[in-house]
Amino acid sequence: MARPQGAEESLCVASDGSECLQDAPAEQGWEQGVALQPQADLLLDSPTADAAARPVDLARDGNRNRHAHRPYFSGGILALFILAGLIGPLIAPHSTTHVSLSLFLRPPVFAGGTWAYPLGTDELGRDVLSRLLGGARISLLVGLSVVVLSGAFGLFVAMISGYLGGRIDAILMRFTDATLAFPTILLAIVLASIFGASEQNVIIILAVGGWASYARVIRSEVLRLKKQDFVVMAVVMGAGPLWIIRRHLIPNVMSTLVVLATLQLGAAILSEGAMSFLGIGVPPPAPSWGGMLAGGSNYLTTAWWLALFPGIALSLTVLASNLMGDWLRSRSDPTGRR
Amino acid sequence: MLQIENLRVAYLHDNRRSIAVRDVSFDVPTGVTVGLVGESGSGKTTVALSVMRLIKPPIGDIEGGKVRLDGVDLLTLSNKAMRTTLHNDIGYIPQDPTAALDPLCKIGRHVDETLSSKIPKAERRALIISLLESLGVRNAATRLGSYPHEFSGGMCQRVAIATALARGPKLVIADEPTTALDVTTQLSILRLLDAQRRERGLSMLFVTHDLAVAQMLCQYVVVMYAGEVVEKGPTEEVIRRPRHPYTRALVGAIPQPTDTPRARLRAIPGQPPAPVQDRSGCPFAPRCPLAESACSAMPELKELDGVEVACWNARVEEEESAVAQTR
Ligand SMILES: Nc1ncnc2c1ncn2[C@@H]1O[C@H](COP(=O)(O)OP(=O)(O)O)[C@@H](O)[C@H]1O
Ligand code: SF4
Ligand SMILES: [Mg+2]
Repeated sequence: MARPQGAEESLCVASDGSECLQDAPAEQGWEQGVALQPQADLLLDSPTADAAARPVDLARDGNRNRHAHRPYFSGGILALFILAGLIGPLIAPHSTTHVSLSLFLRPPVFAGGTWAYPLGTDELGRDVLSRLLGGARISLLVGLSVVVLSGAFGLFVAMISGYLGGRIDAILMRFTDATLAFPTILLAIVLASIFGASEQNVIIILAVGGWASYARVIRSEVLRLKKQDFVVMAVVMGAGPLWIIRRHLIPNVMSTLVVLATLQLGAAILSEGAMSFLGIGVPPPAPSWGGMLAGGSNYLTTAWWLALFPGIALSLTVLASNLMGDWLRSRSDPTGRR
Repeated sequence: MLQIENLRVAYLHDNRRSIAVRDVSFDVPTGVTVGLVGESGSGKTTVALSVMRLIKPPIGDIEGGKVRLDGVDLLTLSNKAMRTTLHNDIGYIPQDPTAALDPLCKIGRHVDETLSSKIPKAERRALIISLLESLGVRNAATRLGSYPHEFSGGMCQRVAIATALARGPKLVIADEPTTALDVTTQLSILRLLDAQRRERGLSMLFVTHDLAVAQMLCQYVVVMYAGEVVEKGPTEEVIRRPRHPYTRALVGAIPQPTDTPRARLRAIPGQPPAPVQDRSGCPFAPRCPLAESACSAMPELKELDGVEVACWNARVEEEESAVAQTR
């Protein structure tokens, strides 16, 4: 359907925030009339009719090597992270919270320590390695919960907004913009000081701040999709909104959703770290990476290992999650669609 | 039988309406293909979508008129009844075959989903395969599990046609279904649509900007210009002896086998008017070689020798002179 520029929805915001013009296919003009012989019987009784049809379908997508560069690094780090989160506490050599002041501030094994505490101990004599593994579980739990909650809510808003359009769309998008414009960490400080610091509240706070980017990006996908002929055909088939959303829209935004989720996973882990660093995150003595960083920052000159290891764990996980998200994004477009 | 009466459709912009279709009336009798022709932007798609009630706020608004399918006015049906009618009686074939199919939905499933789930699965499968085969998809049985991107444009269009026909609709609406295809494929799709129309006794509303295509497929043509019907009648008669200057120009623009390469590309000079709220006089006047002072009043559709035409200077001319005049 040819739609003039400037028509409603012809401007969309791409995922990178830039504006793009959508859906202005050039319809052929008169000039392109094809020289067909105008004979009425041409359509009928022609034995060559089907010989003219193309016998073989050429698969249009031959370029499968394009993504040969696989994300081994980020994949490996993420796998390690998830593994640590799942079974870390089981394989941890020591308790994550057991205080033993006689063991305080032992250095890592390669800096004069012992194998009993390979990454040293903290100011309360707790094993840094065990706490790192315990922290992985918290980061994983917080990260995944935030991603699932905000992804589900963002998807929900995007579907309603994009599919229904009109005033509901306008209202929901104002709301989304407002959420996007509000700095997450500020929101976190405000909410945490009202509701208190707990793991559960961290998850809720980050989800409250995180759904909006899903809503924005997926809504623009929905706007693109709902003008596609296959959706129009489904409507003509008599399909209702729920069916179209479930059957056509959600599957087609899934790859976008996964990309966003992967990117958000890193952001959520980082935010949890920042909140714990600020003392409004997962409360001690639970071993959160952010909390460990905060505690270790007091001993940077004397016991550098306290801040270094959680710092490395946090940065590597966030980096890997971002790299993975970028790779998925670069890969998700060219397959099957134009 | 589809009857469209005084259909008037507007698109909504922030604070104004632009009328894209004005008082359009025509019939699509049972078992007949009617071609809706006109330049790009003349409102053909809008008419087609309005019949299916797909134009609604906030995009646009069907301001008035009647769209009767076998006597029932579709525009006054409840949403639920309309959905049932769409499901049972109307098939739609869109322009771009690759966009017509969900990239994540297998070929077989596209057709399957239009069928009633009351039919047993095996029976549905057999039905789909025979339908696809009859539409020229070879080895359909082995291709039900393919995804659309594994199919060529022509093959996708056959699948789209199959989804439109699977439920046995009374009316098929095709919006430029061959425009995006190469000439050979175009021809075989047209043949196939024609065969289906005969076999099933379909009413078909065929939208095209290409009069040559309409000539091959359609028994009647309705020529639209700037949202209005300017001429309608039996295809042969309209093309052989066009009565409206615009139709004459369209006919003159059909490439002829005898054309020299340079002569093949003929365009009608000037631009069609933008859709506006109010209009007085003949919309074609600025581009019309025969325009005169009378044309500042709106010409009504009047019958002239078997064809209805809206022009103060309508006259029957023989084909040769008509073509010669526009060159
Ligand atoms: N969504 C839309 N919003 C506003 N104007 C539209 C929209 N779609 C079409 N139009 C306008 O309506 C007129 C008819 O368009 P259309 O029915 O698509 O013509 P055709 O199918 O003959 O090319 C054109 O002037 C076009 O610019
Ligand atoms: S009414 Fe006048 S301007 Fe319009 S087509 Fe006829 S001659 Fe031309
Ligand atoms: Mg069109």
